[in-house]
Amino acid sequence: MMVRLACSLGLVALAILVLFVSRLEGATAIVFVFVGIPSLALALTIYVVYRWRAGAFRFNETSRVS
Amino acid sequence: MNPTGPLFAGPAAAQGIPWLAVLPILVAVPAAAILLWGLVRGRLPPSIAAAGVLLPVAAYALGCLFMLEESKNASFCGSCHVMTPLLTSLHSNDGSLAAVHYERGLVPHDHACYTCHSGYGIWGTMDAKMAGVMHMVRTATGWYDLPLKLNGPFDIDSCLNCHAHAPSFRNVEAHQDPDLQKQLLSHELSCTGLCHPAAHPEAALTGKPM
Repeated sequence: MMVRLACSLGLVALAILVLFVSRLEGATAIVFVFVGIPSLALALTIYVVYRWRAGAFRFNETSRVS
Repeated sequence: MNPTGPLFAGPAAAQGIPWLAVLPILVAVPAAAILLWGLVRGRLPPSIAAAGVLLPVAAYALGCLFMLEESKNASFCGSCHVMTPLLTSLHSNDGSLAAVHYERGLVPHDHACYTCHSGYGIWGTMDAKMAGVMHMVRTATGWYDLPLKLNGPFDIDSCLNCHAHAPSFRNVEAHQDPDLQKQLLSHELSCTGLCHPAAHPEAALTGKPM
């Protein structure tokens, strides 16, 4: 569920990026900065939380180099 | 030939590939494919997931680079409705300082707004970009008053960058007056208003089409 949400937000962000690059004007720049960038940041945050809950980024005995 | 276009302009293909616009899309396409895969499958293998994180970030980094560079274009400035009359007034030969500079080719036509409204050096660019972000905030929220006013005193370094060493500027008696120079440098006085015509016509600052 979290991966799907992160991917959806990432796709929205990429769609905004393509729109902005193909049609550069004030309105698309505003959407790029205030919708696109936060969407991508939120997607990344959700994915990092998902990976953290799945056990990534944690230092434990099994990951210690002997 | 375009009657209002520049002379000696080659065909569009002669400019080469606009990589700054193409690269973000080239990176965004595989990124979108990976994210679509994740959306359908509900999970991603670790190596693919790493690409799914890095590629969209890279696409956005390139997109930001594109925005930083292309937002210097006068057409970009004029695309917001309150700025459109200002851009139109540049072509109107109304005697305003901006129109005079534009008509005589004293500023690059493509970057006419940016040339005068950004300070010198990298910090001038940074300030101009920060001001641009604030313009977007104000446009998006409607947090502005008409007629438009310059936020703070105009940085006369933008004028002096070109004029300071020009003999025609240096020979003007008023420009040699030390008191006047002091007042200008301390922003007590501006080039426009008393001595030189306003930068933009009053009518263009109202945001209404001219």
